[in-house]
Amino acid sequence: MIRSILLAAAIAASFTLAGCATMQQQPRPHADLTRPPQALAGQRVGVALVSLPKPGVSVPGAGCLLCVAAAMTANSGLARLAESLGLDEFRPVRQGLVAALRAKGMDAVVIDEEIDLTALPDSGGNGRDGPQKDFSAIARKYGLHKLLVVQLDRVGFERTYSAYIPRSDPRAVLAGNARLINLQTNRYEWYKPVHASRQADGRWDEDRYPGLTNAYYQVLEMGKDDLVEAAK
Amino acid sequence: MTGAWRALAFAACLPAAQAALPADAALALHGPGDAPLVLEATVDLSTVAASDRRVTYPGPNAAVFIGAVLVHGAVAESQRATQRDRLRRQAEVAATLEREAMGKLRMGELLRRALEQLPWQAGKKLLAEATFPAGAWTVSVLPRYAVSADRLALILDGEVALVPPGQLPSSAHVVQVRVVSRPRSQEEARRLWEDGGTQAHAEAVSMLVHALDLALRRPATAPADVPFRTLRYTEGAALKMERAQPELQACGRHVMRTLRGWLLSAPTSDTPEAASCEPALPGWR
Repeated sequence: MIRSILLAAAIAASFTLAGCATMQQQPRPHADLTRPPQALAGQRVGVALVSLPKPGVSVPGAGCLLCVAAAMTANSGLARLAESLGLDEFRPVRQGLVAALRAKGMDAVVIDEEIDLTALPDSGGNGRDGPQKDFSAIARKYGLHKLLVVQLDRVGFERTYSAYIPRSDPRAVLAGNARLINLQTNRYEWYKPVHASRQADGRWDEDRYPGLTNAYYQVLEMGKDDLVEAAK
Repeated sequence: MTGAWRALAFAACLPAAQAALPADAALALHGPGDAPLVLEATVDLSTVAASDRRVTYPGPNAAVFIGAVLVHGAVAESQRATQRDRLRRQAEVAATLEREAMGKLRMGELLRRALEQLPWQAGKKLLAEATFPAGAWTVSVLPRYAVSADRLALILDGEVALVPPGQLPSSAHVVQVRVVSRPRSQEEARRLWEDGGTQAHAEAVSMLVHALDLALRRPATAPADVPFRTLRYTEGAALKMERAQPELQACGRHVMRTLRGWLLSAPTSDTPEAASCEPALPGWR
């Protein structure tokens, strides 16, 4: 039995650690990166999504392997719910951002394909002043001068723990960022982190989790609203 | 709780078996006694969380270890319960004026006034007790009122049980209806509760009429081919969202079917159409 528990703990740890591997280094914050996106006349801006992650469950605070295994087992129903939910409601953020940029007189277009960062070559950038990946192939394909990339790092549900014990009710969460890349200088011109979370309205643990499902779709909308508003 | 209400409460656990009331059906309205209305205060419990201090469990043996984990769990739940109680008390204190004014309206008067205003062509009467008459549908309603967190809107949660003529409470079809009042400015909200809450009482009646109207006329369940969307509405000054199946949009309101299967009627915005809907549609303002 102990061997089974340890094996489950190791598997659970691999779930929680895997999400860290694709995190982008955060840009070095400075005043210019908070200014809403700008583009000169004649410059074409593409708005694209990085391949979206699958909704999942995180249990921060479950600090030991057995704690993680116990927490993931206790929240297996939430995990099944997360697996059943999609991100189609978030994809129109591209259209919202394009509309916001066009309202400022920019030549902005939606890039339909979702960018797989792992398939792009490295640019040699440090990830702080500019991207570590080379987007020039995308620039040539769509005739772009700038690229506004939206990336979700985490989406789904989160329940905070203190070792084996839940500290709070589960909540829906969304975390990511949008960044405007000047494809000629390969430097960031705008960076906007986004984080949204909501608890269920009423009981969270009803059959089929209607409260948490509602909260999930709320954070998708809140994340879109936040990004589009910041781009205006 | 009377025997009839207990039976209806049990029936609420059974699957819905009835469609909406036929338009020519007589109805008999019944409610939960004649107590003063209680106004709850909406509370944001999203900040409730137990301590995040690192915990070390003693482990001389498995029994001690498990006991320590259970004690930790009990302490964490106690912390959360304490925080919830404190937030609820704070919200109730902040809404003292509104709670006192609403308490001047009794349930019996609320139901009597609502029945008078309910636009129902066939016969309607008010029952003192749930007698389930043979010639009419028995409509049993359990209304609960709350004030929004910013105290600029009223919220009604109504449980409406519909029993066909001459049938047992076990045949009841139960509908949950939530109605959010139109948002008000600070000045309008202040006037709502003046003079012992006269305007607030009228608003409560109007909202109950609207809830009953929806419960009686809307189909038992939404059509399966209506997709869920994330719909936006206002609750006081706050923008809220609900994943729901849209059913109606009129008079600046959305009527939708939520993921819980509830009917939710909430204002989208304060539009000119809202005024033009009065007085033909009570409660649609």
